[in-house]
Amino acid sequence: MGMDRRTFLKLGGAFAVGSILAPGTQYLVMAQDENSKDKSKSKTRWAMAVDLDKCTGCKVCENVCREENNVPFYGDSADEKRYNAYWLRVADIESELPGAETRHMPIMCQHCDDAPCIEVCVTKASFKRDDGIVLVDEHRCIGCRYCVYACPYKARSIIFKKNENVTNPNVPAMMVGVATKCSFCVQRIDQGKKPACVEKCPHEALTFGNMNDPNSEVAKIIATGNVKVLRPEKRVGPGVFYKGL
Amino acid sequence: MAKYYFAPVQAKGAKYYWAVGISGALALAWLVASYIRFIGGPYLTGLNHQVTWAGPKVVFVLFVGLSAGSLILSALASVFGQKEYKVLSRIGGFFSVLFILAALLLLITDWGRPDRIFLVFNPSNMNPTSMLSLNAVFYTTYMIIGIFYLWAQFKEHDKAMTGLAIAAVIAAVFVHTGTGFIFAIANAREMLFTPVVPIAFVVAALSSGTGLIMNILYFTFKLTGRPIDVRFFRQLGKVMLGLIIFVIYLMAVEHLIHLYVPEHREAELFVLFGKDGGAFFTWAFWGGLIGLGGIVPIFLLLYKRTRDNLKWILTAGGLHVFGILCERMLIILPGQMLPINILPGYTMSSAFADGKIATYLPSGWEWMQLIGIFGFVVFVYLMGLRMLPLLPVEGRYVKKGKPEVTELDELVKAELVTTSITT
Repeated sequence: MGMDRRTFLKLGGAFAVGSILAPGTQYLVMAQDENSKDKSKSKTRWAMAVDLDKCTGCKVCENVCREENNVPFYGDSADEKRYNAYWLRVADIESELPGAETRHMPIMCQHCDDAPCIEVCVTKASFKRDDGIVLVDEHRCIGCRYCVYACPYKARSIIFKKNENVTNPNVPAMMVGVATKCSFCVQRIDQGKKPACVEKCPHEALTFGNMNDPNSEVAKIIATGNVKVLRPEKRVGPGVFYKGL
Repeated sequence: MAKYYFAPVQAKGAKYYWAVGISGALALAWLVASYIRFIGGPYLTGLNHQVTWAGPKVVFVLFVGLSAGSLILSALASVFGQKEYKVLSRIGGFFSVLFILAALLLLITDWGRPDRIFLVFNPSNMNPTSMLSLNAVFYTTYMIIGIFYLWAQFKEHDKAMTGLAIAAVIAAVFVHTGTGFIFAIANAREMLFTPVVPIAFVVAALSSGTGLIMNILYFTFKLTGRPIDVRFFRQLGKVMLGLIIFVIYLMAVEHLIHLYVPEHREAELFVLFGKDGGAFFTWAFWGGLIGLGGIVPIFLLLYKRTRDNLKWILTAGGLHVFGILCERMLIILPGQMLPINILPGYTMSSAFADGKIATYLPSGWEWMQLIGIFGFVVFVYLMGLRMLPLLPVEGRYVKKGKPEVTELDELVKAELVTTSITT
């Protein structure tokens, strides 16, 4: 061997310590970046309120969501049902109490304050905008599906297959193999419009707005105190509020 | 204490080439299936929006465990001073690297976009709160230390070997605890949510690693005509017995805790007693993990007539590896198949399969990946035997000064080439 043992051990030790510590210092830097952001500076926190007393389960929202965002629907066969993607679905819910009626409940991404999907994302492809919207960068997602595993609301879908039916040319067709989910129709919000499901709901069951603005409709509904969030015990701070639950 | 020399095997027999051919074909099948899956899209798997981690993840976790187990067995000689374990220190080290490599290959080809692997290693993408992102660091560090450790063994660099072995053992504990964490910290899935999981992962890694390495050692020695020391296997059997009892104990604790907590009870009944169609998992739990993987090996290693018999010790080892495969499956699948309880106190149904117990069966491509990766492991091992000084030869078979090996090539006409000599 070219070098003596002592030199070799020194080099080996330095290498081992370096390879363990180097990524750690990266994290320290990132942690400082996180802390230096002043979150209170952002004045907007987009939120949605769903009035279950008004929802009839007509599923218009499900369909307009699909058209607006090119959410793939492959067909009705048993195999295709397995991988049809949903950004928003209307679930039938029935209380376990005696004599309870079936009611309907639209469930979409809850745009949590402390989103578990962002926590577990391997490449930071899932991220949060300052206005509270949780998004997936489909160019950065590696398709590991940890976020689907971690989401307490089953709000995420995988794009299982190429979407042949692109309905809205202004929104990109989704990439195969990556995770996807409701974006609160971010492309509409940035143009000053409301999400498609809110605008098209025939029963006005959905309300959308800035919950930090006390004059917004959403803030008023939340202020009544008559709203609930889903799975409050998970403490993820959802941005979707359900009235009449 | 016998002296050992290490040298590559130059196998020439038809059996060897058949084994290389078949395992190579399987490895190729893994590559082809992975490529087709990637090009076509995940619809070619049996996955759905609820069960998104399945077959390949089960084998991934099994392999990570086997890797950590073989490494610690290998390190017994250099770290813990058990000289008789030197026989397997190189094979153990080799398999620790091989299994982590195979595990990572399987993990990456299970992604929707394996072509984006470089994104994981971009420091600005690293996410300190993601266990998988941290594990990318752990796995890589572990694999690099493992390679250096193996290299130090080839070079007979005793001091470096000891240092690297200690580093590798520490890394192995990190790697395996980290793998347990991936599942244990899932806020959304109650089934997996106990602090026992990462500990059980490490212990099951050791026990299954021992069971497998023991079998690999025996069959390699037998097929290359090496003398087999029964006492050594008896000792390994005793070590494994202790580990298996510990694994079963941890399993009992974990499942009893779940059974006691009302929110988790439904899930436990699904697994333990086949409620709501969990019969397959009930078989895997009682038959695979507790029966074949626990009680039977414990009995074989305790009972007077079987505990000293080499064949039964090896059977116990093999059965326990199967039991741990069942355990890995029980960690990953049932927790996802059971519906997430979004609205406690309500029953729920939708087109997105809310409130429904999901099903999962690996598709043909997934089976090709799963079986193919085993072929990959065998293929690389057969290549390694030929190219690297992995196998020991006792000193008495080697002529002094010029070690030429004779009388060792009965079964596959293995012929030793003298490249590396040691004491």
